[in-house]
Amino acid sequence: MDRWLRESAAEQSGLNRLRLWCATSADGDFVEYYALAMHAVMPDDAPALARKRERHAIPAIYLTALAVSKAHQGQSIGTALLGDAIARCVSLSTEIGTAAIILDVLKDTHYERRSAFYLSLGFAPIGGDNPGRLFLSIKDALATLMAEDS
Amino acid sequence: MITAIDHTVAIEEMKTYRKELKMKPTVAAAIKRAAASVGMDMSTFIASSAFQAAQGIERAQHQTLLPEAAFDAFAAAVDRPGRRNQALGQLFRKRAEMIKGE
Repeated sequence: MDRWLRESAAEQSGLNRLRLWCATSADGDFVEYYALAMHAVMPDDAPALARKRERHAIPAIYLTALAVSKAHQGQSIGTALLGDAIARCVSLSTEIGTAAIILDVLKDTHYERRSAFYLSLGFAPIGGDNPGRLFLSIKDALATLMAEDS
Repeated sequence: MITAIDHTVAIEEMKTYRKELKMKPTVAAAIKRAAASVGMDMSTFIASSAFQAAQGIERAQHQTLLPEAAFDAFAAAVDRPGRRNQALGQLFRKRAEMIKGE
C-alpha cells in the first residue's frame, strides 16, 4: 500500500482519476486513508443494447483503496474510515448522480472474513466475471444514514 | 496451434525503452516455451501479456462489465427503495465517534 500511495495515488490524483482522503490522529500522525474514483457499470454488449435503448451504463463510485497504518490497526479506525467513505459517497450522490459504491475485497488470507464483514453491511456480489467485487446501493446507504441522523 | 496476438502492435512507437527483468528460472522457461509456441520472441510475448494485464487493471478501476442478466440484477438492486442496515448504522456511529472535521 505504501508503494501504491507513493507511486500510483499521487499520479492518479494529479490526473484527476481519483481523490485521496487522509486522516490523522489528534497529535498529527498519519493514520489512514481511502481513495474514491468514478466508475461505470455496463452490460458487456452495451453498444448493441444502447442502440435498442434497452440498457445504459449506471454510474457508481469505486472505493479504490482503504488502509490503516500498522501502528493504528486494531482500534476500529478502519471501520470508522469505511463509514466516512460511504457517507462521503452518499453526499457526493446528491451532487452528481451515482447509484452504487463498488469495491474489491483484498484477496489475502483474511478474504473470507473481510467478505463476510462487507456482506453484513449490505454489500452484495456484483456478479459476472468479477469475483470479490461487491456493491452497496446508494439508496440503502442513504436510508441508513438518514435513520442514524433522525 | 494456439495463436496469440501482440497487443502492443497498434502503438506506433519505436521500442526504445529497455527493462532488465529478474525472474525465477522456472518462470522464464515457461514463458520462453509459451512464446515459442505462439511464434513470438520472449520480449514481445512479455510486453504484450503485461500490457494486456495493465489495460485490464486500469479499466477495472473505472468500469465493471456484466453479462446481461447480472447487469439487470444490479440495476434492479440499485433502483429498489433503500433499506436500512443495522450493521451499516453501527459503522456510521463509529465514524461519528472517531472522525472529526474535513
